[in-house]
Amino acid sequence: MSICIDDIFGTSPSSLAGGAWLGELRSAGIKDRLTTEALNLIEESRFARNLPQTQTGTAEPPQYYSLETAGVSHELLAEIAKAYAALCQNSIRGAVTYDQRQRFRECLDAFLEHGIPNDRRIVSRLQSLLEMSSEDEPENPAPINVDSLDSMVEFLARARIQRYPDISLSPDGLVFLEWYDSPEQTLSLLFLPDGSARLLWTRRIKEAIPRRDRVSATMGIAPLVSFLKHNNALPPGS
Amino acid sequence: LPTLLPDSDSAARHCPKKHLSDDGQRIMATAFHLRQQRGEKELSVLWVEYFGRPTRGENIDYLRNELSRTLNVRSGDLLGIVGVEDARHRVSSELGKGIEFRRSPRGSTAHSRIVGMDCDAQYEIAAILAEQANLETYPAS
Repeated sequence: MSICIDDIFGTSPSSLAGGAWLGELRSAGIKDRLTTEALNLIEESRFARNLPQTQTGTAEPPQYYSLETAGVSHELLAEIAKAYAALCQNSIRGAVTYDQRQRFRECLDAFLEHGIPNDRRIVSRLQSLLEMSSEDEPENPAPINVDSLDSMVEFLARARIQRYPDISLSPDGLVFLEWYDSPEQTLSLLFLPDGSARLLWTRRIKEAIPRRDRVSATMGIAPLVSFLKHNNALPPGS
Repeated sequence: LPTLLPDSDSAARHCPKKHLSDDGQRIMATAFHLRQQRGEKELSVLWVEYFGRPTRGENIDYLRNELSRTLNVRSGDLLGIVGVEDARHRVSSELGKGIEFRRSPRGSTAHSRIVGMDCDAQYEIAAILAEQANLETYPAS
Protein backbone atom coordinates (compact mmCIF):
# COMPACT_ATOMS: atom_id res chain seq x y z
CA MET A 1 0.00 0.00 0.00
CA SER A 2 1.35 3.38 -0.97
CA ILE A 3 0.72 6.18 1.50
CA CYS A 4 0.50 9.52 -0.23
CA ILE A 5 0.70 13.01 1.14
CA ASP A 6 -2.97 13.35 0.50
CA ASP A 7 -3.69 10.46 2.85
CA ILE A 8 -2.07 12.46 5.58
CA PHE A 9 -3.47 15.88 4.78
CA GLY A 10 -6.56 14.95 2.85
CA THR A 11 -9.03 14.66 5.68
CA SER A 12 -7.96 17.57 7.82
CA PRO A 13 -8.81 21.25 7.72
CA SER A 14 -6.31 23.13 5.60
CA SER A 15 -5.95 26.17 7.80
CA LEU A 16 -2.87 25.19 9.78
CA ALA A 17 0.17 27.40 9.46
CA GLY A 18 3.15 25.70 7.85
CA GLY A 19 5.43 26.90 10.65
CA ALA A 20 3.35 25.13 13.29
CA TRP A 21 3.44 21.93 11.28
CA LEU A 22 7.20 21.95 10.87
CA GLY A 23 7.52 22.76 14.57
CA GLU A 24 5.41 19.72 15.40
CA LEU A 25 7.59 17.54 13.18
CA ARG A 26 10.64 18.89 14.97
CA SER A 27 9.28 18.37 18.48
CA ALA A 28 8.13 14.85 17.60
CA GLY A 29 11.70 14.06 16.54
CA ILE A 30 10.65 13.45 12.96
CA LYS A 31 12.04 16.42 11.07
CA ASP A 32 15.68 15.39 11.44
CA ARG A 33 14.91 11.97 10.01
CA LEU A 34 13.38 13.34 6.80
CA THR A 35 15.34 13.93 3.65
CA THR A 36 15.35 17.41 2.13
CA GLU A 37 13.26 16.05 -0.71
CA ALA A 38 10.61 14.70 1.66
CA LEU A 39 10.49 17.96 3.61
CA ASN A 40 10.09 19.91 0.37
CA LEU A 41 7.20 17.66 -0.67
CA ILE A 42 5.45 18.25 2.63
CA GLU A 43 5.96 22.01 2.41
CA GLU A 44 4.76 22.14 -1.20
CA SER A 45 1.69 20.14 -0.28
CA ARG A 46 0.75 22.48 2.55
CA PHE A 47 1.23 25.44 0.28
CA ALA A 48 -0.87 23.93 -2.48
CA ARG A 49 -3.70 22.99 -0.14
CA ASN A 50 -3.94 26.56 1.11
CA LEU A 51 -4.49 27.90 -2.39
CA PRO A 52 -8.04 28.40 -3.68
CA GLN A 53 -9.04 25.62 -6.06
CA THR A 54 -9.05 28.00 -9.00
CA GLN A 55 -5.35 28.60 -8.49
CA THR A 56 -4.51 24.94 -8.40
CA GLY A 57 -6.55 24.60 -11.57
CA THR A 58 -8.44 21.52 -10.49
CA ALA A 59 -11.15 20.37 -8.11
CA GLU A 60 -9.10 17.27 -7.34
CA PRO A 61 -6.76 17.16 -4.36
CA PRO A 62 -3.81 19.10 -5.69
CA GLN A 63 -0.96 16.86 -4.56
CA TYR A 64 -0.49 13.12 -4.86
CA TYR A 65 3.24 12.86 -4.39
CA SER A 66 4.26 9.64 -2.76
CA LEU A 67 6.55 10.18 0.17
CA GLU A 68 7.79 6.64 -0.31
CA THR A 69 9.62 7.73 -3.44
CA ALA A 70 11.36 10.33 -1.31
CA GLY A 71 12.75 7.58 0.88
CA VAL A 72 10.30 7.76 3.80
CA SER A 73 9.58 4.43 5.48
CA HIS A 74 6.09 3.19 6.37
CA GLU A 75 6.88 3.53 10.05
CA LEU A 76 7.93 7.13 9.61
CA LEU A 77 4.86 7.85 7.47
CA ALA A 78 2.66 6.59 10.30
CA GLU A 79 4.52 8.86 12.72
CA ILE A 80 4.02 11.82 10.38
CA ALA A 81 0.31 11.08 10.13
CA LYS A 82 0.00 10.81 13.92
CA ALA A 83 1.92 14.05 14.44
CA TYR A 84 -0.31 15.85 11.96
CA ALA A 85 -3.47 14.52 13.59
CA ALA A 86 -2.13 15.59 17.00
CA LEU A 87 -1.44 19.07 15.69
CA CYS A 88 -4.98 19.28 14.28
CA GLN A 89 -6.37 18.14 17.60
CA ASN A 90 -4.48 20.85 19.44
CA SER A 91 -5.19 23.58 16.91
CA ILE A 92 -8.72 22.88 15.75
CA ARG A 93 -11.42 21.96 18.20
CA GLY A 94 -12.89 18.56 17.43
CA ALA A 95 -10.65 17.79 14.46
CA VAL A 96 -10.70 14.21 13.21
CA THR A 97 -8.45 12.05 15.35
CA TYR A 98 -5.79 9.75 14.03
CA ASP A 99 -7.76 6.71 15.22
CA GLN A 100 -10.95 7.87 13.53
CA ARG A 101 -9.09 8.45 10.29
CA GLN A 102 -7.37 5.07 10.58
CA ARG A 103 -10.72 3.34 11.02
CA PHE A 104 -12.06 5.17 8.00
CA ARG A 105 -9.02 4.08 5.98
CA GLU A 106 -9.34 0.47 7.15
CA CYS A 107 -13.00 0.44 6.20
CA LEU A 108 -12.19 1.77 2.72
CA ASP A 109 -9.32 -0.71 2.33
CA ALA A 110 -11.70 -3.54 3.24
CA PHE A 111 -14.23 -2.15 0.79
CA LEU A 112 -11.70 -2.36 -2.05
CA GLU A 113 -11.16 -6.06 -1.36
CA HIS A 114 -14.71 -6.96 -2.43
CA GLY A 115 -14.25 -6.08 -6.10
CA ILE A 116 -17.46 -4.04 -6.01
CA PRO A 117 -18.34 -2.24 -9.25
CA ASN A 118 -17.15 1.38 -9.25
CA ASP A 119 -15.31 0.81 -5.97
CA ARG A 120 -12.45 3.25 -6.61
CA ARG A 121 -14.84 5.95 -7.80
CA ILE A 122 -16.96 5.45 -4.68
CA VAL A 123 -13.90 5.67 -2.42
CA SER A 124 -12.76 8.82 -4.21
CA ARG A 125 -16.19 10.39 -3.71
CA LEU A 126 -16.26 9.44 -0.01
CA GLN A 127 -12.81 10.94 0.50
CA SER A 128 -13.87 14.16 -1.15
CA LEU A 129 -17.06 14.25 0.96
CA LEU A 130 -14.98 13.75 4.09
CA GLU A 131 -12.73 16.58 3.07
CA MET A 132 -15.67 18.89 2.29
CA SER A 133 -17.30 18.06 5.63
CA SER A 134 -14.09 18.60 7.57
CA GLU A 135 -13.59 22.00 5.98
CA ASP A 136 -17.24 23.07 6.29
CA GLU A 137 -17.51 21.98 9.89
CA PRO A 138 -14.08 21.68 11.48
CA GLU A 139 -15.80 21.27 14.86
CA ASN A 140 -17.49 18.04 13.73
CA PRO A 141 -15.38 15.19 15.12
CA ALA A 142 -16.81 12.46 12.87
CA PRO A 143 -17.92 13.73 9.45
CA ILE A 144 -18.50 10.12 8.30
CA ASN A 145 -20.05 7.56 10.60
CA VAL A 146 -17.91 4.46 10.11
CA ASP A 147 -20.68 2.08 11.23
CA SER A 148 -22.86 3.55 8.49
CA LEU A 149 -19.98 3.10 6.06
CA ASP A 150 -19.73 -0.57 7.10
CA SER A 151 -23.42 -1.02 6.31
CA MET A 152 -22.94 0.56 2.90
CA VAL A 153 -20.06 -1.80 2.16
CA GLU A 154 -22.15 -4.81 3.15
CA PHE A 155 -25.02 -3.64 0.96
CA LEU A 156 -22.89 -3.01 -2.12
CA ALA A 157 -21.03 -6.30 -1.67
CA ARG A 158 -24.33 -8.20 -1.58
CA ALA A 159 -26.22 -6.25 -4.25
CA ARG A 160 -23.37 -5.96 -6.83
CA ILE A 161 -24.98 -2.95 -8.49
CA GLN A 162 -23.22 -2.02 -11.73
CA ARG A 163 -24.52 1.51 -11.92
CA TYR A 164 -22.67 4.21 -9.98
CA PRO A 165 -24.90 6.00 -7.43
CA ASP A 166 -24.94 9.61 -6.34
CA ILE A 167 -23.42 9.74 -2.86
CA SER A 168 -23.81 12.26 -0.08
CA LEU A 169 -23.63 12.42 3.70
CA SER A 170 -26.37 13.30 6.13
CA PRO A 171 -25.58 16.05 8.66
CA ASP A 172 -24.98 13.23 11.17
CA GLY A 173 -22.38 11.65 8.87
CA LEU A 174 -24.56 8.80 7.61
CA VAL A 175 -23.87 7.58 4.08
CA PHE A 176 -26.65 8.21 1.57
CA LEU A 177 -26.77 6.52 -1.84
CA GLU A 178 -29.21 7.35 -4.57
CA TRP A 179 -29.90 5.94 -8.01
CA TYR A 180 -31.92 8.65 -9.67
CA ASP A 181 -33.73 8.51 -12.99
CA SER A 182 -36.51 10.98 -12.35
CA PRO A 183 -38.62 12.05 -9.37
CA GLU A 184 -40.86 9.07 -10.21
CA GLN A 185 -38.02 6.56 -10.49
CA THR A 186 -35.60 6.84 -7.60
CA LEU A 187 -33.98 4.41 -5.20
CA SER A 188 -32.51 6.05 -2.08
CA LEU A 189 -30.78 4.40 0.86
CA LEU A 190 -29.60 5.95 4.11
CA PHE A 191 -27.27 3.62 6.01
CA LEU A 192 -27.90 3.70 9.74
CA PRO A 193 -25.26 3.00 12.40
CA ASP A 194 -27.14 -0.02 13.78
CA GLY A 195 -26.54 -2.08 10.63
CA SER A 196 -29.84 -1.33 8.97
CA ALA A 197 -30.79 1.03 6.16
CA ARG A 198 -33.65 3.38 5.50
CA LEU A 199 -35.13 2.68 2.07
CA LEU A 200 -37.05 5.18 0.00
CA TRP A 201 -38.13 3.86 -3.38
CA THR A 202 -40.43 5.58 -5.82
CA ARG A 203 -41.57 4.12 -9.10
CA ARG A 204 -43.93 5.09 -11.86
CA ILE A 205 -46.76 2.65 -12.46
CA LYS A 206 -48.04 2.66 -16.02
CA GLU A 207 -51.66 1.66 -15.76
CA ALA A 208 -54.86 3.13 -17.15
CA ILE A 209 -54.46 5.87 -14.59
CA PRO A 210 -50.70 6.31 -14.15
CA ARG A 211 -49.59 6.69 -10.57
CA ARG A 212 -46.47 6.90 -8.52
CA ASP A 213 -45.84 4.36 -5.80
CA ARG A 214 -43.65 5.23 -2.86
CA VAL A 215 -42.15 2.57 -0.61
CA SER A 216 -40.30 3.45 2.57
CA ALA A 217 -38.98 1.07 5.19
CA THR A 218 -36.13 0.43 7.57
CA MET A 219 -34.57 -3.03 7.45
CA GLY A 220 -31.37 -5.00 7.82
CA ILE A 221 -29.01 -5.20 4.87
CA ALA A 222 -29.63 -8.86 3.90
CA PRO A 223 -33.45 -8.57 3.89
CA LEU A 224 -33.15 -5.23 2.12
CA VAL A 225 -31.20 -6.76 -0.76
CA SER A 226 -33.68 -9.65 -0.96
CA PHE A 227 -36.57 -7.22 -0.99
CA LEU A 228 -35.04 -5.11 -3.74
CA LYS A 229 -34.23 -8.15 -5.89
CA HIS A 230 -37.66 -9.65 -5.37
CA ASN A 231 -39.32 -6.42 -6.48
CA ASN A 232 -36.97 -5.67 -9.37
CA ALA A 233 -36.01 -2.47 -7.62
CA LEU A 234 -32.26 -2.71 -8.12
CA PRO A 235 -30.91 -0.48 -10.89
CA PRO A 236 -30.49 -2.21 -14.28
CA GLY A 237 -27.44 -4.44 -14.72
CA SER A 238 -27.34 -5.56 -11.09
CA LEU B 1 -45.00 40.89 9.28
CA PRO B 2 -46.67 37.48 9.51
CA THR B 3 -45.47 34.71 11.82
CA LEU B 4 -46.02 32.12 9.11
CA LEU B 5 -44.78 32.54 5.57
CA PRO B 6 -47.74 33.09 3.23
CA ASP B 7 -48.71 30.13 1.07
CA SER B 8 -48.01 32.18 -2.03
CA ASP B 9 -44.36 32.72 -1.00
CA SER B 10 -41.23 30.61 -1.08
CA ALA B 11 -38.31 29.60 1.13
CA ALA B 12 -34.67 29.18 0.09
CA ARG B 13 -32.47 26.47 1.56
CA HIS B 14 -28.69 26.77 1.37
CA CYS B 15 -27.43 23.44 0.02
CA PRO B 16 -23.66 22.94 0.40
CA LYS B 17 -21.84 21.05 -2.32
CA LYS B 18 -21.58 17.93 -0.18
CA HIS B 19 -25.37 17.60 -0.41
CA LEU B 20 -25.42 17.78 -4.20
CA SER B 21 -25.16 14.97 -6.74
CA ASP B 22 -21.67 14.25 -8.08
CA ASP B 23 -22.21 16.59 -11.03
CA GLY B 24 -23.19 19.37 -8.63
CA GLN B 25 -26.51 19.93 -10.39
CA ARG B 26 -29.08 18.15 -8.21
CA ILE B 27 -29.93 18.70 -4.57
CA MET B 28 -30.06 15.44 -2.63
CA ALA B 29 -32.41 14.74 0.25
CA THR B 30 -29.59 14.97 2.81
CA ALA B 31 -29.71 18.76 2.34
CA PHE B 32 -33.02 18.59 4.19
CA HIS B 33 -32.06 16.09 6.90
CA LEU B 34 -32.12 17.17 10.53
CA ARG B 35 -28.98 17.02 12.67
CA GLN B 36 -30.38 14.47 15.06
CA GLN B 37 -27.17 14.16 17.03
CA ARG B 38 -27.60 17.79 18.04
CA GLY B 39 -31.31 17.42 18.70
CA GLU B 40 -32.25 19.63 15.76
CA LYS B 41 -36.00 19.68 15.21
CA GLU B 42 -36.40 22.39 12.58
CA LEU B 43 -34.63 23.39 9.37
CA SER B 44 -33.28 26.84 8.62
CA VAL B 45 -34.41 28.58 5.44
CA LEU B 46 -34.63 32.16 4.19
CA TRP B 47 -37.89 33.80 3.19
CA VAL B 48 -37.43 34.63 -0.49
CA GLU B 49 -39.95 37.45 -0.73
CA TYR B 50 -38.89 39.12 2.53
CA PHE B 51 -36.94 41.90 0.82
CA GLY B 52 -39.88 42.77 -1.40
CA ARG B 53 -37.87 43.31 -4.58
CA PRO B 54 -39.84 43.40 -7.83
CA THR B 55 -38.16 40.42 -9.48
CA ARG B 56 -37.10 36.94 -8.37
CA GLY B 57 -33.55 37.65 -9.47
CA GLU B 58 -33.26 40.71 -7.25
CA ASN B 59 -34.71 38.86 -4.26
CA ILE B 60 -32.19 36.07 -4.82
CA ASP B 61 -29.35 38.62 -4.96
CA TYR B 62 -30.45 39.99 -1.58
CA LEU B 63 -30.61 36.46 -0.16
CA ARG B 64 -27.09 35.75 -1.40
CA ASN B 65 -25.87 38.81 0.46
CA GLU B 66 -27.65 37.66 3.60
CA LEU B 67 -26.18 34.18 3.29
CA SER B 68 -22.64 35.40 2.78
CA ARG B 69 -22.97 37.49 5.97
CA THR B 70 -24.14 34.59 8.12
CA LEU B 71 -22.85 31.33 6.59
CA ASN B 72 -19.75 29.88 5.02
CA VAL B 73 -20.93 29.81 1.40
CA ARG B 74 -18.64 28.09 -1.08
CA SER B 75 -18.40 28.10 -4.82
CA GLY B 76 -20.64 25.33 -6.17
CA ASP B 77 -23.20 25.52 -3.34
CA LEU B 78 -26.81 25.89 -4.46
CA LEU B 79 -29.91 27.65 -3.21
CA GLY B 80 -32.98 25.43 -3.52
CA ILE B 81 -36.32 27.22 -3.63
CA VAL B 82 -39.34 25.56 -2.06
CA GLY B 83 -42.83 26.93 -2.59
CA VAL B 84 -44.65 27.05 0.73
CA GLU B 85 -48.04 25.94 -0.54
CA ASP B 86 -46.71 23.17 -2.80
CA ALA B 87 -44.50 21.73 -0.07
CA ARG B 88 -47.18 21.82 2.59
CA HIS B 89 -49.74 20.31 0.23
CA ARG B 90 -47.49 17.46 -0.88
CA VAL B 91 -46.35 16.58 2.63
CA SER B 92 -49.94 16.60 3.83
CA SER B 93 -51.49 14.68 0.92
CA GLU B 94 -48.69 12.12 0.41
CA LEU B 95 -47.55 11.55 3.99
CA GLY B 96 -50.41 12.80 6.14
CA LYS B 97 -48.04 15.11 8.01
CA GLY B 98 -48.15 18.83 8.62
CA ILE B 99 -45.23 21.23 8.19
CA GLU B 100 -45.14 24.98 8.60
CA PHE B 101 -42.79 27.70 7.40
CA ARG B 102 -42.34 30.00 10.38
CA ARG B 103 -40.48 33.30 10.56
CA SER B 104 -37.62 33.19 13.01
CA PRO B 105 -35.29 36.17 12.60
CA ARG B 106 -31.84 35.10 13.72
CA GLY B 107 -28.71 36.53 12.18
CA SER B 108 -30.72 37.41 9.11
CA THR B 109 -34.12 39.08 9.37
CA ALA B 110 -35.28 36.82 6.52
CA HIS B 111 -34.40 33.72 8.52
CA SER B 112 -37.25 31.25 8.93
CA ARG B 113 -37.70 27.63 9.93
CA ILE B 114 -39.49 24.61 8.57
CA VAL B 115 -41.37 23.26 11.57
CA GLY B 116 -42.92 19.79 11.94
CA MET B 117 -40.13 17.72 10.43
CA ASP B 118 -39.20 15.99 13.64
CA CYS B 119 -41.44 12.96 13.15
CA ASP B 120 -41.30 9.37 11.92
CA ALA B 121 -41.59 10.57 8.32
CA GLN B 122 -38.69 13.02 8.40
CA TYR B 123 -36.72 11.25 5.65
CA GLU B 124 -39.76 11.14 3.41
CA ILE B 125 -40.43 14.83 4.08
CA ALA B 126 -36.80 15.60 3.26
CA ALA B 127 -37.15 13.73 -0.04
CA ILE B 128 -40.24 15.73 -0.98
CA LEU B 129 -38.59 19.04 -0.06
CA ALA B 130 -35.49 18.15 -2.10
CA GLU B 131 -37.68 17.19 -5.04
CA GLN B 132 -39.48 20.53 -4.82
CA ALA B 133 -36.21 22.43 -4.39
CA ASN B 134 -34.78 20.90 -7.55
CA LEU B 135 -37.50 22.61 -9.57
CA GLU B 136 -35.85 25.99 -8.96
CA THR B 137 -32.19 26.32 -8.03
CA TYR B 138 -29.65 29.13 -8.11
CA PRO B 139 -25.95 29.34 -7.37
CA ALA B 140 -25.59 30.30 -3.71
CA SER B 141 -22.79 32.75 -4.42
